[in-house]
Amino acid sequence: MLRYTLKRIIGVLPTLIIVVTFVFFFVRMIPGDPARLVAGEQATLDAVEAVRVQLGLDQPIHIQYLKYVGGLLRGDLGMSLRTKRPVLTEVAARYGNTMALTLASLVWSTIVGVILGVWSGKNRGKWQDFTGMTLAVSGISLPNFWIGFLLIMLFSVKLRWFPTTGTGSWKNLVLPAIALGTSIAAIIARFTRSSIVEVLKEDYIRTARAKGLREKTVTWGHAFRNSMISVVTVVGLQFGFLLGGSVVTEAVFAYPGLGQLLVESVNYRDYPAIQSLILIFSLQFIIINLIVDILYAVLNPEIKLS
Amino acid sequence: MRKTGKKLYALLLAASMVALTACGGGSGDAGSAPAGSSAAPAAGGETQAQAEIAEGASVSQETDIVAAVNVDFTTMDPMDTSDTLSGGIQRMISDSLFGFDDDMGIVPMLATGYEANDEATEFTITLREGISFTDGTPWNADAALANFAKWDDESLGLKRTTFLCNVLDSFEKVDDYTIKVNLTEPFGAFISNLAHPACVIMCPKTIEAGVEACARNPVGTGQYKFVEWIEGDHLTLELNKDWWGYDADICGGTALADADAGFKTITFKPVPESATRVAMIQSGDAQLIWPIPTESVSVLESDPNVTSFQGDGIVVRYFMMNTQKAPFNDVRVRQAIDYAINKEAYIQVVKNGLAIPATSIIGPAVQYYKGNEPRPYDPEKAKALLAEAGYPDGFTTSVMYANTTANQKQVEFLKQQLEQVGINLELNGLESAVVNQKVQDTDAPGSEAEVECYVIGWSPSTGDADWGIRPLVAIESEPPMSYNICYFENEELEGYIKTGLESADDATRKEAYEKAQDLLWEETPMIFLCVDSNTWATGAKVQNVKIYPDGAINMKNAKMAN
Repeated sequence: MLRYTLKRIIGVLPTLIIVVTFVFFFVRMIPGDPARLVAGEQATLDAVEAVRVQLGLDQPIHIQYLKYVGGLLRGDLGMSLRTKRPVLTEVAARYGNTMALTLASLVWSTIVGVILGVWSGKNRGKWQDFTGMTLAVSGISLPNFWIGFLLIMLFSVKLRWFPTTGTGSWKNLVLPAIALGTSIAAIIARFTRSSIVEVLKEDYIRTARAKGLREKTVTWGHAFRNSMISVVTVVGLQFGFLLGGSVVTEAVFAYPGLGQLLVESVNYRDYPAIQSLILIFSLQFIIINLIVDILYAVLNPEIKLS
Repeated sequence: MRKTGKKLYALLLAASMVALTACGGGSGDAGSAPAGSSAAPAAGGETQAQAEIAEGASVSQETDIVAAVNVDFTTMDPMDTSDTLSGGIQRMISDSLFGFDDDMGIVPMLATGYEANDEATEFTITLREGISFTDGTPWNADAALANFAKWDDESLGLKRTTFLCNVLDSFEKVDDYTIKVNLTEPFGAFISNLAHPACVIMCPKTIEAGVEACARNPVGTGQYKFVEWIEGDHLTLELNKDWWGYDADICGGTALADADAGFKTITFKPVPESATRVAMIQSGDAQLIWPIPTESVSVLESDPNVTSFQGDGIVVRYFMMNTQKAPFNDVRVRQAIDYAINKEAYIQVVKNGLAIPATSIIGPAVQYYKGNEPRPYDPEKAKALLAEAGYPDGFTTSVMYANTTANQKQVEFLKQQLEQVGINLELNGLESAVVNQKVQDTDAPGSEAEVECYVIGWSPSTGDADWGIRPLVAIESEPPMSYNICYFENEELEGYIKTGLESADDATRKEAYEKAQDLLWEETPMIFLCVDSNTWATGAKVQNVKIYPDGAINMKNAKMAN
């Protein structure tokens, strides 16, 4: 297992180099002049040029690239053009917020999604199945900004149970986590259902029943565990996406997470911030994929780690 | 089995609740924050009347409030600021030598007055006595010179560095409360420039501590003290009860604010989503929001817990035409377009009524403004003028613009209007940075520039005619230097601009700028569409919160009823 993990980690390096290089040059291909944006709309040409020199954007692109990579190796993500503070500080300030929202959304949506999926799958073709899947389709179809506004209108403006925006208390997380998790719960429910339906057709389920096992043991001990592989994949993927910050939900709830930071950085052509954020998002995905792979083996010993 | 299922479900539910609770430890406060805005003059006045709070009855100094704004702050260093929102907060933390009254008239603040020579190259400024920064550092000539030295220091690489450093020659202490400033060239708008938000005074100790301290931990002489700024989340200010503006003696007779005005703390929260800002003021999570999205104005007006306001601004909206290119090199064509656009309809359709028709290149709140009679909406006259200019069947042209929702709405309206007189306006909407690159960052002469028509809004944040006129129509301001995207070149106008710039005499400057405005009205290098209104809303108990015409928040005298 350790060898496998190490091998995977080393295998990640080429991916990271490609990501770093690709993002560095791609970001610079976006039209728009960061020096102009930093200097402000009413700035004169002199001011724009002064800013360009100050930001080091007047240097040849390969020098900029080498400087960036050199900085990365020293753990320096560079300075944000927008705020003139280290990008790492900017990211760190928001990472906790995004992580909290991600976990809150993912925990409830996984629990609800799995229960709904198992319930529908076990009762395939019956009213439970229709109910579950109608809920799931609705959850996927409703845009999360719309759910967000509905929640704000009901729970903040009318009932005043939860605050409209902000961070700092569990109450601040409830509405954005519901808005963000609804579609994820729906996706998980659909995957769980189809997976359960497949697994219930397997021979070993018939065997388990023939052995006289109780139905709940058959469902949760045999069918459920074996159907979890596809669910773990989906949850892992969603986890990766959510850690990238949810642009829309964060905007609706004015939640200071990574999604908003990325949007602000792109609007501002804040090259160092965009590069670093994308690098961090890629790293997260790679790590999550690794964890998912290991979980496969735990769930199904038949999958060999070699 | 059914029973166990229920148990499991209950267990999972409980687990999820615990997990939600555990995840709650983030950073920052609950609450809302202020949004920055650009604003413009409009119909003026509040949309709802408020009852006055009796003297001494305000509870604001014991009250913490939350204000929601539309974007995050960029920096707390005035010389590094290019957005109105951050500038407005800086003006609460500190004062400048000269400032603005509620209508953007220039008033002395940390200065008591000035004398200038006739050439407008030498300014002697007397400073107000008896004032300290909030860290106890005294305000005097040394403190003033430390600020001038910062403004003059190009090596700091601040965004507004070129604002003053090219005109500052030398500055010296005459006595403890008098300084003398020599300029490299005549600059009649110098005092107005000192009133610009970039020239807010910082504590010399902060300046000494470096640019990071200026940007993150400002200390000033102002009504509020800076507490903290958590990026993306909130910025908090705390009342400075020792502010000199409460002291009538120091103010020279009348205090700048009533003794019971000001809030204990103000937490500004950036909330980019307009609908959320509106929900915040309705739910009571915020006591102040600005700007109000135009579509929400009527919702807030009908809410008894909220008071909404509309005030004059200085952002003027223009439809610019490249006057170096046919057909816009003919003044009759430009005037025809002016006749062809119904400004009242424009304001109703594009601005939801939150604007007033423009009567000059600058708004009424700008110094030396002189209004002109707007050309009436007259498509027949427009057609006649077009025919006279040799375009009886109209022509096809294109407008370049940043493709925001507001701009899209604007150009579609203009297209529809121009179609009525036979002009086919092709819409060329692009991402804003791309537009800047195509329109702004080109040194091609006007006749070869890609741009034919352009839409733009402009607000002179010095409150002076110079900054409302020169960057838009002076020859020196053609791209890439500034925003003369009309490529308008007129020697007579250059003369007026020069006269205004090179004199410190009020009457001379007034005359020059009035003539410049008349000439521009006649020549119509751009269509002067409207002057935007500022909008803001407060909780019903909050009073005297205003927005300066330039869009910055003004809560000097703000109070709260019990």
